Amino acid sequence: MSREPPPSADSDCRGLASQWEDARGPVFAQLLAGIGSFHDAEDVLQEVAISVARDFAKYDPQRPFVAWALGIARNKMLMYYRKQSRERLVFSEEMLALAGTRFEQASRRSTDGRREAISQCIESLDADRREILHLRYGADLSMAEIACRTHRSVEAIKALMFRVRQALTRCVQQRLASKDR
Amino acid sequence: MNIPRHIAILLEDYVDGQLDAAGREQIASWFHASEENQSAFADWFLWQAELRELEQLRDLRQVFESASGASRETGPAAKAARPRRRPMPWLAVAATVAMAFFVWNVWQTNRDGERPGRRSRRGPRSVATASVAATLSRVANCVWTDDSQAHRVGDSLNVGEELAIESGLAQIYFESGARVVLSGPCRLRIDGPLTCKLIVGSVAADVPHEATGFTIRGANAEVIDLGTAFGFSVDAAGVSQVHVFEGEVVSRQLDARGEVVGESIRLVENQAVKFFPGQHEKALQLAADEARFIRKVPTLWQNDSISPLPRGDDLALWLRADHGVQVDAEDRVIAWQDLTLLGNKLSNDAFQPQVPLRPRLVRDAIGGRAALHFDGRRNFLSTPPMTTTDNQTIVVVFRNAPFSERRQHGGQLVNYNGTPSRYFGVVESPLSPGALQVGENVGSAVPEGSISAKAFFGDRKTGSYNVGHLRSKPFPAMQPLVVQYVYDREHNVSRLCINGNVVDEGKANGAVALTSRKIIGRHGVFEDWGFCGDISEVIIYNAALPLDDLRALSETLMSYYSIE
Repeated sequence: MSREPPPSADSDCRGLASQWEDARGPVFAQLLAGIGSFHDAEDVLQEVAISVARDFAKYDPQRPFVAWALGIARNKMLMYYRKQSRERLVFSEEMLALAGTRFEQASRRSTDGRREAISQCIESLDADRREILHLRYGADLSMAEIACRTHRSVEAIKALMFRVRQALTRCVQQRLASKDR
Repeated sequence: MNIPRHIAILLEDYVDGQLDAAGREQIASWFHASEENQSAFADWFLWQAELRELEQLRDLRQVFESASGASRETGPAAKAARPRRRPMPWLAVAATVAMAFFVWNVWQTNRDGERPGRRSRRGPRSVATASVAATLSRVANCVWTDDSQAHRVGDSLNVGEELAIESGLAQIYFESGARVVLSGPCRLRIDGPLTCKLIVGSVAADVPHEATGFTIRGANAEVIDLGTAFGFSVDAAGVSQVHVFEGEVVSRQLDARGEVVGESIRLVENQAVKFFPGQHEKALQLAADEARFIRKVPTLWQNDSISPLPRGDDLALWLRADHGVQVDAEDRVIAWQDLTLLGNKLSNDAFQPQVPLRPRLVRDAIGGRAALHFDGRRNFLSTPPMTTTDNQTIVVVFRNAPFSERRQHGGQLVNYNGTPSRYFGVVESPLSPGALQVGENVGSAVPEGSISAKAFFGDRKTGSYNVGHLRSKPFPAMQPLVVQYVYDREHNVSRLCINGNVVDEGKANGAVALTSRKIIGRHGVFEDWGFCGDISEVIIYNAALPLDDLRALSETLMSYYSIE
């Protein structure tokens, strides 16, 4: 069995990795919107990443990279549905296509600055709110499981999560705006 | 993010797999109402992706820190010896790591046709592969000679791997069952499940019956175990010493090429022998001095006050979340130490070296006592290979989390079929021995809350072949339970008890004695059968406990965990 050499750091992979950094968030968001589960969306994300890397030579640089990656993601998502024997998308294809345009637009914002701002804003939250975020996104718990872990009602957790995200949104907007000044 | 609260809540339900048709219609009509709504919809998912990624990067950061030796388990001395990290632009580092992972993943896929680090039905991650010969099981004040070569508790050690410590203690479980404690300064190379080479330093070995023949070679001598406990040292001048604490060994002098020279020297308890470099000086026999060697690494629970169980005989494993749990900075469990207080002479700690697969320690769970929380998908712990017999009693104190659609299968609490598994593919006839399993309705696709246990012998074309497959009625989620599964081959009876009551009985007419890794919190092979909930206690007896003993044990545990 022949073995391919690992991609060289000096080859196209550097450009690929850099472009993938910008595309990964929108691609993951699209997969999550279409699949509805972090875990499964992450699995499909890995498959998308591998396809992107394998087919990078076929990529036309005249086209936006993110749009190309989102196209691959759509195909992978449909394959996922076939594999899972799920009959239909929860949201219509039209709806996801419209959302896809928005995901593509979102990739134009500065990823690094935004990530840093989100990170700082999370740090500024009180411990209780940080813990809720961690349980949701790090420990991957459902709202019901978080409620159980924190001895609160599911409704209270949902309301709290909504408030936390509102606070984060405001905080990130302020931080990014102050940087722009 | 200008998304109305009711839509945000419906989207949360969607991500949890709880969205119904009415909710879906509500989201769709809101989405189509305006372009602004469409942007808000996309923005909500982008936020999910960003927050998820940040948490995942936190995991990566931990991996990064652990790889650089800054993890808690390497001990305070190791930390002190390490330069303090400057405040780092961790996002940049994490992004670099993420990119490296990406390229590495692609490379691995090209090479192996399968991605590492993703869910696979082939077997649990982090459990040993063919070249693994040992596991680093405990450390105390351990300072590694080279930080870049530092190991973490639970790490698998491959053939050819070398451990070098400057000071402190490190304990290794060999796959054969032998336990070796290194006292720093010490260098030792793993040569296989039954062999290692002591390059310099001092070690103490405890070798169970099944690992008879375990051999440690030094520069000019070797010691072959015949079922015993002994110490072996090699100093910088090349002088080797063998001291026997219990049982019997054979010791032989080696020449520079490693060939045996001279006669074998048989040593029994309290005897020792000293070999000198070269072959000019004869081996010197003397009295054993156990004080020269350290045989045990201090446990995390050694200063705790722990009431013994009503029955100590035949105890093979005793894990209690209130004691002996080693966690990382995020309270994720690295090791769960066996409470070798009673009959379980050889400790069998359970481990999870990989950060994302670790369960989380919850200090106030069942009855206010500690528990390990398993996420139902990735988390599990694994013991080293441990020998269990044909008569077994498995006891677990736990409570399961509320069911959700994400949990497709009943999760397993304890599974004896840790890798390397012998049960792959469809076979024409049952395999033997069987592997015991206890969990939520084991073997069913519907996790409706009942508890089940069985001995699994293999798959035939007509379906699984099981013995002693017992089930309880469904229990509500979050209800703490003491489950006891008895497999009594001697009397051909299996028994399932919940909170002290026998709820089902069956046969036990197949052999189940085997040496295997015991997996806690998940199926031994399939990741889909992960337990979601809290486990406070796991006890295994190499005996089928009679009803009186089961009742006494159940009462003790129910009282301890305030279970009514």
